[in-house]
Amino acid sequence: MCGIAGIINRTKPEANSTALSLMTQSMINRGPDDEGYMLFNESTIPFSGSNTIIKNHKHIGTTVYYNFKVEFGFRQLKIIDLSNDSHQPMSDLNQIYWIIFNGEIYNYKEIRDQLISLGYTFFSNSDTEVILNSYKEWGEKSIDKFNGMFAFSIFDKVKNELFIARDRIGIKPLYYYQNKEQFIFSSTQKAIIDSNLYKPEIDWEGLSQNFRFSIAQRPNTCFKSIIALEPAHYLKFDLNTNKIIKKQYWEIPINTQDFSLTEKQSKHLIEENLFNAINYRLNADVEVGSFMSGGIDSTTISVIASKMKPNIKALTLGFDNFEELNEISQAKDTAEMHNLNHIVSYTKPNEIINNIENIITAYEEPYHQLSANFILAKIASSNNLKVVLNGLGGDELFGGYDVYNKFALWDNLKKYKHLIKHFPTVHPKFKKAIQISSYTNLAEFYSHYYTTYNDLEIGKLFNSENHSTKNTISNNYNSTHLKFTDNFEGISFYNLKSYIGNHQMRAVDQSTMHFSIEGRFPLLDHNFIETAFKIPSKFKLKNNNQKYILKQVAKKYISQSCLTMNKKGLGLPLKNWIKNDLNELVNDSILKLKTRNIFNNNEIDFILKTNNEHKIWQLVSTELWVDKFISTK
Amino acid sequence: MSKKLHILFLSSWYPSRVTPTNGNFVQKHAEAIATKHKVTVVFAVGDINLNQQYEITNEVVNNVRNIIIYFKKHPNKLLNAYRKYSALKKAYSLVDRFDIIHGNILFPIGIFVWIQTTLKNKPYIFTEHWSGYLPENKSSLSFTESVITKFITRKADYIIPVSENLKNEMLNNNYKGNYKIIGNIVDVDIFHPVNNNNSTFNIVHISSFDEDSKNISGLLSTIKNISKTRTDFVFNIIGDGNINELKLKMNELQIPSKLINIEGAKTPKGIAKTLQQANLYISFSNYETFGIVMAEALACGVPVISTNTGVLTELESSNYITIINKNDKNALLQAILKHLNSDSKFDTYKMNNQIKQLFGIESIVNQYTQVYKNAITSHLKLN
Repeated sequence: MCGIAGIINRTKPEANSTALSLMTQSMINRGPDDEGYMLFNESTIPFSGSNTIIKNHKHIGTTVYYNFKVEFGFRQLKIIDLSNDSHQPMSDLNQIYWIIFNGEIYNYKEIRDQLISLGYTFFSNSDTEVILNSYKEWGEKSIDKFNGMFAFSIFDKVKNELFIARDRIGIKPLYYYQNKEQFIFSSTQKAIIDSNLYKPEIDWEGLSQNFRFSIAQRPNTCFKSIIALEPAHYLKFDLNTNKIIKKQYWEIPINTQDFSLTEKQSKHLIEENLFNAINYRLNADVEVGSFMSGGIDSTTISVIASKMKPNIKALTLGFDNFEELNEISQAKDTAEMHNLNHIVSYTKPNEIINNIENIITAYEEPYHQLSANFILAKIASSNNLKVVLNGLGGDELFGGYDVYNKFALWDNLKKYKHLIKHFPTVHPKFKKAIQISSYTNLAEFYSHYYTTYNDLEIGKLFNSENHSTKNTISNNYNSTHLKFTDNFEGISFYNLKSYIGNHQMRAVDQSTMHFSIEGRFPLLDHNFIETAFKIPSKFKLKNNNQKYILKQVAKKYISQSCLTMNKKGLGLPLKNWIKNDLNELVNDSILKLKTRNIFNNNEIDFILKTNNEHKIWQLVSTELWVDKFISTK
Repeated sequence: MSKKLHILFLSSWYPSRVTPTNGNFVQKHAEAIATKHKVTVVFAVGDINLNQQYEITNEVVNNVRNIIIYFKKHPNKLLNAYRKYSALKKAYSLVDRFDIIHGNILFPIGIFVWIQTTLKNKPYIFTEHWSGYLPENKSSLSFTESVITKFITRKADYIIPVSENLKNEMLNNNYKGNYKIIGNIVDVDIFHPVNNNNSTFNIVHISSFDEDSKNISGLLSTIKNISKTRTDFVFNIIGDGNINELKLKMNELQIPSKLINIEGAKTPKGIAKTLQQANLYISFSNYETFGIVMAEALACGVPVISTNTGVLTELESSNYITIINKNDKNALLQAILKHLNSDSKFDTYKMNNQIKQLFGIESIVNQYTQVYKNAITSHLKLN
């Protein structure tokens, strides 16, 4: 839920608080239910028109003319505690600590009980107040106690210190920008741009990474100087000395496989932890539903959720005229088994075309494909849901992608690499074999399977100085040269860091938040992740059967057709749409892109001839992104 | 647009929980360079109170990744050196691919830098701040240490002393290498002129009160002599040295207390505030390696009297810096009186701008960027 924004005026306090209100207005989709502001001047007296804890929904720009050092702004989507008591920014009873918080702490009731036993009293039923008092009691160590998804900032008026933290997996976003005068942070990059305190420019390293991996690898973004706070990190900003410290507080639990576990015990552990994770995520004071693609992960979650919350709505997306992409019949089979409240919605290309501008705005950065998440979120919204469970994480933890089945191939190719390198490159398969045999580490091997444009293509395409992406994955996520128990574990690690933490979370959060929907991810519960990493890899990939152990759990809940179907994911028929419904948009965008001198135009023509829909759409979305964010500002 | 490089800082001194202010000028360089490049600092420091063999802290401070490893300090020098080397190796293994090593203070870290760059076939440069090369300084390297350091100096792609004086003394001591001078950083956003309407004439001196280098006795006896004829000034002496000892010296000299204001260590903002209220800054040092406070005073638009220590030579021809001979108390007295008697105004913004051009963050970072690029290019050519 929610959008947070903050401005720290580093040198002299600014007389203009309009920037803050522009930022919160920019995030109205993330929090349509309420807005709030808190401003702190040099003597750190909070000001917001009247007592914010009670309620104050007056608009800031029209009433405030003070000078401020710290400014907090907030847009709220109410999920837990619908009363005005949960209004933010919120302070503790002594008005020393002030918080703005986006997300959910699922175990807040347990922490609250612990705090009450320590003598704390609460004026609301919200998890926000629990974070505040936890921070008061345990400082930065409080994050270790939180089970949930979060990005929050706390201002300690007495210490004159700002604390900003992001959840372990990176489900909730947090971006910042700083110059000599200001430090600005927000849930979205767009809000930073809309503040008018930042002039958007392209970050060439970020854009190169975006072309390679579908997203700039965090902390980079495609906007120069806009930084993403990495998952499982916090920032401490001492306003007295201007010193900013960034620290990692959690790591994906590699090297924790418990080889004494039997298959039966592993299955039991997974099932038990999955139930806990789902149970936590059903807690809300608004209606909760689930996305049910028909695949193993989301369908299992939907069924288990329905056991705990009968009649929960399970949504499935279908494509008109593209039967090969549909998983509807498998989803229906399971729905019938358990008499689920199953809702199937069909989409047409014009759903996407009519929303292109919204999609580009929501994604904030170029993207190599059109994601169904946007449409799914729209469907959830039209079904009056505010919270939706999502199955993300299963493929990464249990080996649902092709790459998990290619280790033997890599090993063999490496053995014969001196021979293979002499293969003629006439056939793409030979070329691929030469490439794979040359990878000396797991990060390079991983990168191969998550590439839209390779390094060579990026070098040819970009007119700017070339930023090699060859070592991006190892530099960004394994700079400390961690050793993995096995390759499976290593790929899971990189997948959680890069594919989930950057790519998927960004796509899902931005889409759901665009429609004021909150996505919740049981498989990304950190306790569940820790359990999954305990399970020996041999139970996850057994006799080349991917996600074996998860299937053993799932088969109790889902239909045989769901279990055995080939993975389709949530793909859209992009290739077909580019040739037909989206053809005019593609042509116009490419023509415009060629006038910008960003890319080598001969290379653009070459890419168009390849008919690779993802490469083409990457170019189109870059043009739409430049047009939306860079050229008009 | 310029490609970001990954610079690995290895330093003999760096601020840590054991030595909180040691090498803070190195930290300033690192943080400035991090505005344009990726910077990682690796630093090993002995901690007598450590309960374990090693402890690593890994955090990003003002955009610089600081990997600081604490090792259990051992009283035996050799064993301690071995522990330090092992600690450095441990911390170094946490660093991802870098383009160049930027060493700071040649001894003792130079040996480690040379070994690692040789193993990885990478270029290295060294910034030198140590006053031990100056003849007036009693600290010096042993014969073996000096031979090793000379070898490392010769092999470095660049040796970058922070002043002309330091460069000359290093060359006089036969430390041959490819020299280029790049100064320390003056944060002109903090150190800038303000409108000064003081009714009293404020003379300021800021230092560690170290007698050998700062010649505090000479400074105080000159102030005593002026006080015999003039009382229309206040001498503000500020620093992190022994204040009681200083007060004792003043009592011995019987300097009127109303003419003296003594204060302890201040934050950079506090120092700036003091300098912004000053009419004159004086330094009577026997030797200096850079003279950062003088540069900061000039950035605040305050004229400076300094001994000929060979620092800030770039500014010698300007009218806002008066150079006198070392330990020439009469010259100091005359120079102070000249300022007291003069009502000439200085173009404070021009002074600030000149310091910005020479020692401002952007200028220093650009100079280092050029050095890095040259070093990397020539290293590639050699290979």
